[in-house]
This record gives sequence, structure tokens and C-alpha cells, in this order.
Amino acid sequence: MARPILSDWDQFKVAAWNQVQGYYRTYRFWIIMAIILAIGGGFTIAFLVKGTAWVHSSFGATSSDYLAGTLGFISFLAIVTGAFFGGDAISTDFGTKSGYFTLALPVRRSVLLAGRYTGAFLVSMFAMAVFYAIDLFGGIYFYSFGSVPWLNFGLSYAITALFVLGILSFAFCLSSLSKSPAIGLVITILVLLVVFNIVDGLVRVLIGSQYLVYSILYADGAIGSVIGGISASSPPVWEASIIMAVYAVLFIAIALALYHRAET
Amino acid sequence: MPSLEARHLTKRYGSFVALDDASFKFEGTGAIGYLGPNGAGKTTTLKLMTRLARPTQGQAFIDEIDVTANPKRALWDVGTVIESPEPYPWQTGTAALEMVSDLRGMSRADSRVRIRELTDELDLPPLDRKTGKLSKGQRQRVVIAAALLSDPSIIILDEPTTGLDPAERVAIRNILTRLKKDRLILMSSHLLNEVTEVCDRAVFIGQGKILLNETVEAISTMYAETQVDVEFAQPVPAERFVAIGSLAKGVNMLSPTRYRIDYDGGDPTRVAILRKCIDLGPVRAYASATLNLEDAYLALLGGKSGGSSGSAPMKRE
Repeated sequence: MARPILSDWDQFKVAAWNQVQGYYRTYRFWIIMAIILAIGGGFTIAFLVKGTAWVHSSFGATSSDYLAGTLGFISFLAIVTGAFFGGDAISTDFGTKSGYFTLALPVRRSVLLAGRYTGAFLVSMFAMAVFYAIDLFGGIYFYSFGSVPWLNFGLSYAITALFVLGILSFAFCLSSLSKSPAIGLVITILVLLVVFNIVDGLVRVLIGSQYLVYSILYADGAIGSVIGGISASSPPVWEASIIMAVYAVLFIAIALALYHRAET
Repeated sequence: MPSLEARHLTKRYGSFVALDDASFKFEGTGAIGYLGPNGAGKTTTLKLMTRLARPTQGQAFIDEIDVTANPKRALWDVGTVIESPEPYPWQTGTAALEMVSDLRGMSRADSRVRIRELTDELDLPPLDRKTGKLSKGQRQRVVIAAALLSDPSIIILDEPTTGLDPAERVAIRNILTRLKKDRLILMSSHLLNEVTEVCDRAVFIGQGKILLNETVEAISTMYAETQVDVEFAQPVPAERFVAIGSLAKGVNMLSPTRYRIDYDGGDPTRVAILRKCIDLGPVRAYASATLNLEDAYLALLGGKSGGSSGSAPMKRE
């Protein structure tokens, strides 16, 4: 006799856990960690060599300045992480024969997608947390424990989470348009790091920065500015949050629609 | 009682009709062979039955549940191997099987027991290795294990023994022969002897249309009625069969003493041929030819008797 049908929630947890396990079993996770350690660790070691006085004169007198400045790498790291973890999330089912293994199982595609998205988000945020931890170490070492703006630092991590969601949705969406896992990954990186920057630059020069609200790269300015170092081009937190949330919702909805209809 | 049903299933890709108004219903237990040349629509049918593709028209039902409308419920008690699937290459064999068992709601304890059983039955490769590092045949065995893991009532297989060596094929055949006693199995295959050995029923499909849906026994009888084997007590030269004249459509020498004669025209012709044979030499035996699915296949799909496909005949193992 057949066993009772498992709930969507239970299957979601299985899909998410498998996705997390999958990342740890692939080289890409270790490549991301190596990049994060190279950038975060490398710069922190360089600052340690240069000394506290040099850090203070370069970044500013407060830990907020240091934290905001060094978090400038987060955008690049989040894009690469999102592309690595989301760029083949869907295309792997249709560009390889793995889809025949998974999609004929009794599980809704929306549940599979939600599980993968959650797994990709959790692993991405773990990677981001490593960078934030290194950053925090520098803030405490070069300034003081008490000088760290904890609330704003936490808010910055929350905005990074929203940014990662937006990037992952975008990567999942591109992945659903591609048949090749590798191409989805490369296109995501190219579009976000090259195309967006070119278009953003053109819009900024030709029209004005107020028209950059379509760009998630414009929105990422809030990650550092919420701690300190607000510049004229930094968006308000509320505006950045809305842009990122729209990216997260809109592109994952497109990805889901395409995944739902796709045939092996 | 397990059941599989196609109601006017049609699948078009642009102007190409991959499956054209296919209808069938199988209930109860047993094994059904799904036969046809490459591109006939076999895999398309199986994909539509398992929600890997959506029908352009018509519906597929498993246990009376609409597969397109409610794939999760419909496929809950179904094990599938469609189009040589592959687990994610980063998964170990164990991880791939445990993912399937988890999604199917099996407890870890049940899953481990079942994996041990299947490891013995299917001679699974070391399951701690990543599936991407396994050979094609090893991966195929893992995939078959995944299909059988939850002990489903319905098993849908698309050329399940592809990539396996002869010994592995025999092992899979034996398992399927055992499973069909209390399960419903629908399997496509290029290997007609495999279908003959395992299946109780055969469905022939050509150019997207179902041409025949009968028991294997009935098909053999149906096609054997127009052929007769004659055995002589001593060798008879083939050229002497000219004497049979227009009574025979064709004569094939099986051995110097045995011939297979194709004829048309029913019992009077058959009796007349026997009389002519007696003139050729002492007849030891005269009986309807025992045909296999290959003959039926060639007759239906090889253009011998109005089959709709001009495709090359299927290969035999």
C-alpha cells in the first residue's frame, strides 16, 4: 500500500537541504569561499601590516567609516555568489539529463524551485557572513568593540540579504532561459557586472542618477551607506529595499512560470 | 488496482505530430511492452504519462488521477526511468537515492533497508562515489534502483536496459518478471526478446499512432496464421519449391529439411500447400509457424503489411 503523500512543506525542506548539500559538494562553494577569504582576508592582513594609524587616516576616524568602506566589495561578491549558486539552478534540469531524474518525481516544480532558491540563499548568506565577520574583526581590531555601530551593521547585513535575494532571482530567471548550466552562470555574471554597469553609467551621464531606480547595482549602495559613508549617489534605504524586493519577486516569478511550463 | 490510461493523447511540436490521438487503458498487474521505431512516439507517450511534457490535447491518467492537473498525487505511487536519466553529478549514489526516498516520504530506516536490498538485487556500484564518476551502466543501475526504491505499484520504464551489459540486462529482466506479478509495468524497449520475455501485452506505435494493442500471445497467433513450417524427413532442394507455384507468397529455408512458407487465402490454400509438399518429399511435420514479436513488428512497422512506418526495423538483441 502506498505511503501517505508527503506535504509540500516537507518536500520543500528536502529540496532545500539537498541544494545546500549540493553546494558543499561542488568546487564552486570552495571557489567562492576562496574569493571571499582572498579579498576579505587579504585586505585585512594588508591593513594589519600597514597598522592602525594608516587605517584611520585612510578610512576615517570611526569604525563606521571603515566598515562602510570595506563593505564596498559586497556587491561584487554577492553577484559572483548569486551567479555561482543560481546561474544553473534551473538549466541543470533541462541542459542535462538530471531533469528526467528529478522532475518525474511526485513533487511540485514550485516546491523544488522554492527549495533550491532557499538553499542557494542560505549558502550565499553563509558566504556573505564570512565576509562580514572578517570585516567586523577589522572594525573591532582597528577601532574598538564599543565603537562598532551594531544596529546599522546588522541592518547592512539585512540589506545584503535582500540584495542576494534579488541577485539570485535574476540568476534563476536567466537560468530558466538557458539550456546550458555553464552559459546561465556566465551570462548572469556578464549581465550584472558588465552590462548593468555600462547601462547605469550611460544613464547617469546622459539622463541623471534619479532614473537609476531600475538598477539593482544602484540599490546596492545602501549596503554601505546604512553604516556610514553616505554619498550623493547612495539611495535611501527604503528605496534600495524596494528595488531589491521588486527584483527578488519579479524575476523569481518569471523563473517559476518558465520552470513550470518547461518540458524536458 | 493500479491503472494507466491515455485518452486521446496528442502532442504536437509546431507542425510535427509526435503523438496522434493515442488512447489505451491498462488495469491490474502485468507488464506492457511499448514498441516502435525511433521517433515513433514511445518516449513522448511516457513523458506525457509522467508530466515531463504536457499534452497538446487529451489527458493521461494514473490510478484515475489526471497527471497534468495533479502530477504529485498521480505520480506518488509510480517509479519511472525515462530517457536515461542521470542523478545530479555531484550527488553520491547514496545521496541521490536518499533524496528520492525523502521526497517520497520514506523514513530513513526504511530507505536504508531498501537500498541494501536493491544493492544486492541490482549489484549497485559503490554508493559513496559521486554519480558523475560512475560509468553509464553503473549510473543506469542507480537510476533503476531509484525507480524501485519506494516499492511503487506502477513502474514506467523507457528502454530500461540501455547501457547495461548482457548479464545486467538479464538481472533487470528477472526483477521485472518478478515485479509484474503484483505491479503494473509499462516499458518501452528496442529489444523485442526482452519484451517477449517480460511482457504480457504489447502496444505497437508508428508515426505517433497506436497500431496494435494486444496480448503477446494473441499477436503471435495473429501473425503465425499466415505462415506455416514444414519439416521433411530428408533434405529437399529449395529450387523444387517452384512446384508450389502461386500458392505461396514466399518460401524461406530454415534448414535443408525445414522451410517456412508464407501464404494467403486461408485453410484451402494451406491444405493445397500441404499436398504439394507431400509431392516434394516425405513430410514429418506441418504446423503454423511460431512467430515472435519481431515478425509482428516487421509486419506492422516494416512495411510488410501496410504498417504506417517506413522506418528501419528494430534491432534484436
